[in-house]
Amino acid sequence: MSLAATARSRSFAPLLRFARRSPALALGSSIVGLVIVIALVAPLVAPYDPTFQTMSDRLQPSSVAHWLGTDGFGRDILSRLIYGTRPTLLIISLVALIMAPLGIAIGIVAGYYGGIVDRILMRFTDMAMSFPRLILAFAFVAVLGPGLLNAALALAVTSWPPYARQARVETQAMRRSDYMASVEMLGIRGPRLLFGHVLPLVFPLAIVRMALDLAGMVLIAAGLGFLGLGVLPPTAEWGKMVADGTPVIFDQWWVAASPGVAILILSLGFNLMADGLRDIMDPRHG
Amino acid sequence: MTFRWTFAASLLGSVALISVPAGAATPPDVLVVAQSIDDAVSFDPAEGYELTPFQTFNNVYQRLIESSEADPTKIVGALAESWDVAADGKSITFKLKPGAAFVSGNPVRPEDVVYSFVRAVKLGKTPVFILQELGWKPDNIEALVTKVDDSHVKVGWAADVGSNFALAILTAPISSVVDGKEVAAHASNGDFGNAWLKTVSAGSGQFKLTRFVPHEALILEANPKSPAGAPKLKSVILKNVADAAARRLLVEQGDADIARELGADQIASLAGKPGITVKETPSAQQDYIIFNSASKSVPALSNPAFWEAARYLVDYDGLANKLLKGQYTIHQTFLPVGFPGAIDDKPFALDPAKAKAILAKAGLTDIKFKLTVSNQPPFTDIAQALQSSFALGGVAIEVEPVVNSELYGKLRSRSYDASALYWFPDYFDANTNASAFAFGTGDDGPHTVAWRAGWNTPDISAKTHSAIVEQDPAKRAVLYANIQKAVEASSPFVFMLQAKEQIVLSNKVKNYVQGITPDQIYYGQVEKK
Amino acid sequence: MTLVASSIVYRRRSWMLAAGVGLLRWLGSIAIGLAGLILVTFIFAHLSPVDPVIKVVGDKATPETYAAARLALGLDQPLLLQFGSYAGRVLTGDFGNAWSTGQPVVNDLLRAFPATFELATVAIVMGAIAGVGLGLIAGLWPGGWRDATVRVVSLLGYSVPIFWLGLLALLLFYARLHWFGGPGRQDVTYELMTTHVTGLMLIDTWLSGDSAAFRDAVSHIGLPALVLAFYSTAGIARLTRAAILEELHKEYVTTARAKGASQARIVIRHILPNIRAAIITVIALAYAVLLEGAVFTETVFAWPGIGRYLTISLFASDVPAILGGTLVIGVCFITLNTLTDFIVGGLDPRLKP
Repeated sequence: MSLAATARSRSFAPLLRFARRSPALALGSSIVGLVIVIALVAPLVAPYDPTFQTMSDRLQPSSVAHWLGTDGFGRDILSRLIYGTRPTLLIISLVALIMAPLGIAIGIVAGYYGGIVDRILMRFTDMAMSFPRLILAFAFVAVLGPGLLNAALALAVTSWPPYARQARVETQAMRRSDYMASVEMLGIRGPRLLFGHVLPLVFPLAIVRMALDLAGMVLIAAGLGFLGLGVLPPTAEWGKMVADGTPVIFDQWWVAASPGVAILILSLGFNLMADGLRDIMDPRHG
Repeated sequence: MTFRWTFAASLLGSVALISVPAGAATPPDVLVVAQSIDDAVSFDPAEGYELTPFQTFNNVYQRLIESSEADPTKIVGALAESWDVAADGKSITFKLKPGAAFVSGNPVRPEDVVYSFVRAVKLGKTPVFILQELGWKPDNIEALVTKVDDSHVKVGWAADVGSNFALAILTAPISSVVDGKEVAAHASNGDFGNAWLKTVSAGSGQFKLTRFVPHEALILEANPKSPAGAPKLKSVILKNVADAAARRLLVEQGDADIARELGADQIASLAGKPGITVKETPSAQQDYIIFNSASKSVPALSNPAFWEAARYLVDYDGLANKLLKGQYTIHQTFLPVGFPGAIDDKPFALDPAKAKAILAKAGLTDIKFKLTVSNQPPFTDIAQALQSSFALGGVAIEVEPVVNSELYGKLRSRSYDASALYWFPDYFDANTNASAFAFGTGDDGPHTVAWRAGWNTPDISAKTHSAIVEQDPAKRAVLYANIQKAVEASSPFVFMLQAKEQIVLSNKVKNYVQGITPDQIYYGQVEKK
Repeated sequence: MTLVASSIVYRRRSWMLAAGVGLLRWLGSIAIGLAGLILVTFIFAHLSPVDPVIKVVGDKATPETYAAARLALGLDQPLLLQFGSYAGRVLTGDFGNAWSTGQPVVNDLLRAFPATFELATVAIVMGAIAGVGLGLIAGLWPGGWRDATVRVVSLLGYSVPIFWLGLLALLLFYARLHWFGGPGRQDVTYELMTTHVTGLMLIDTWLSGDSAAFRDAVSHIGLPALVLAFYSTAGIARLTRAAILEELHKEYVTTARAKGASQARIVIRHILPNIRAAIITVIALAYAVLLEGAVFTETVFAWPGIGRYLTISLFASDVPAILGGTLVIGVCFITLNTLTDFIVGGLDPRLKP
């Protein structure tokens, strides 16, 4: 990451200014924002209880009573889609809360101290980076058992390396800057320096990366659900809903179709956000 | 600009190449069966205890005697021409059919029968418990099963059971007769040829197992010299198609002749499609709920009032006629319809109000337990339906889907609250289920299903024991009827459903027959026209 | 003369030296990655709640049999020793016996690998052609409708859940339109007739000389390959576009243009050779990701490769099979990933996945 880009991202104010100019960012953030709002007010907007079964209304197509039809238990698909925002957002926020701080901490320490610390940490990071993270996440959940927390943990422990690399590069660049020299001259050292003064400077770029990563996370989390490694029944989760619709895909296609669209939209939202943010950070990669 | 054209041309080219119409008919003398064979681990009759091996054994091996295809309550000779029960009722002497030979060309000798039973007992693999019902152990088996002369073999037993029961045991798949010479030649490290026999067959059935590729296919080829007669088909391919929707399409489009284990929704969608028939046969599979009354975490599970309430919290009708439509019938006793001694008694229906009243009277409130089920369909579906209907009675269920091996591990170590699962009888006698569900004598007794439920029931156990010794079939039936009534009224089991097997056949397939037990599948007389 | 010659020799030597060092570093990173994978899988195996002894002897075994099997598996030894013997076995290709098939995991994986390799290779060829093509179009006409279209296509490619796309593709192109073959690699009819020489169905059916069998194999691989290809097209197109834009702004392009060179000539003679390395890197990375993406595609299309083997094993909690599959995909992934580092050297960290 170039110094110029770092300098540009020193404060959030330019981000907001650019947001108005970047339709991708605006559209992406609105989608993500809307999904978050839906998750928060799910009980208010969902027409039915997402786990309420009506065996006599199984696999109904779209109707006035059930806008998106019903699934194999006669549950309202729309309500399940609405409640399905919750586990998805919960998993990806858990992942974000674990992976970004972990990666940034390793990166800052490596970048700031350099030398042997840097070499050991970066070797470790490179190794973790070359792992197939999807497969490892699957193996992790498969071995430890399905569930929301295991799924989030699996994704987090395999996704931190890029944050470490990025934070390290930025920290190294910053070390050489006048700002850092003056801070150090004031006698600020150790953790206070790292987390009080280096961290805020590394943070904005980590956010961009996170937006980009979260799109992938939405897909992987749904994939875990699809393979039956995500949340436990009867919790509505989009990936699991697609899996539930698979046996009837050739006749009642809508059961699997709409949760897939939901995954696509949320993932697209994060991707648009990331795209917009990247335009702002570095127009070359638009 | 040139790139655009090259790109477009290559794209068009690849589409043109790919777009060939799919769908070809299967060859006339080959039967293609689409089913899941992911469960198959071993095709050694002394070891195989999964559905796919069971469905194969009758086609590649023969037993001394077998349950008749047409009337399973009748026992007919297979490799045995006739048999005589000894006067003391402790042994049977079988006369082998003359001239019978294995697929290798080796003749079927009394030595092969002895070898087959000795190896099964000494190998001690999963299904050996069936033979142990006869009191067979590694140290007495050679004394109990002996060659009389070149055409006679004597089968004796050490357990206190009647000869009818012993005959029933000898119809089980583990009683298949293997080619002793051939198998012994492939033995290594005293494994009785087990490693070799896992993926091939060495029997006298109408087919031989020539190739088993795990997760992909199983190929049976005709054995025209079989004592059971030459089969009509040249080969049978069991093609692994794990996804039920894909199985349905294969049979619908003529890429497969038979499709098994389709879900209720797939069967419904096939209704009225030309060229295919849905054949229904009763199955002895039963689905039931088991409560662990030894559970420390949920004391209510050991309370007979809760057991009674639970019987009114199952939506039998919704399960059998809606969720799993056409695949089950409601059945509430532990012997499946079609078995000798079975009674068809259905006193329970979903009645949350009644259940609530029973629970309130017993002072049971806020009951919450974990229902551990297999992660395979239809059990995840059944579990969710139970979750919903138990909630109506104020009982909260947390569903825990696990893989089968983990489920059985939990049941056997009694580290679970409750489960909803299936049961298959192991041989054609009422005792197979009675000894599992109606025999619990505490930790010192055998670890039966009743033991897994923590159910110590000396009275019923004594009845079950006396029923097995009884020789008169009519009196036995009465005894079993009483035991079923007792278990139905109060036990930590809720019997819900008996399966109906729905097999989808292409109209080209003729003479397909399937019996009530899972191993009664015969491809020998099947024809394609 | 001599001076120039010696400087050339020197330059060549230093290039070879650099390549040698690069090769060593590459092998070094593969070794480290492999060591890490072995450690991670070992930890997973020990975290697993499934008792490996029960899996071997069955749950009806006597306590004596159980204890003997436990001893035979070396489970009473200190962890470090257990890790040592595990690593030793893995390095010699012994992953143990799969619980769900009863056969050595290595055999299962060797049988499954060609299927995955064939699918991923066909997909990456399609994806690379489409991706580079779209990237070129977008990069050469930035800002216009072409660029916007390519951007939407790649955004969708990034965002679509591949298992769902596969399902819809099966529904539409197989079940409804009959354009493609169904799940699996072949129709059952051809499956019997094809002799397996290479394990690659396209080649084996071609060798068999039966054109119907070959067409059948093509119609079966078409759909999953297209779905996978779509998945990789997005990344390749985006990076090709970025690389082209970067080159277009360089001085030599301006110079060439000033000299009157046509756009086509500039692209073919100047830009493409210059961005070759970047494109190869992206394709190699996409190929590695495809190996992972194959897990879903193979599951949906019942494609008997390593990905489906993994998901079947996941369902059966078959620990040796899961770990064996993870190791094999992991090694391929690490090799491809580090290979690109080796080829291109230090790359902008933002370009990494």
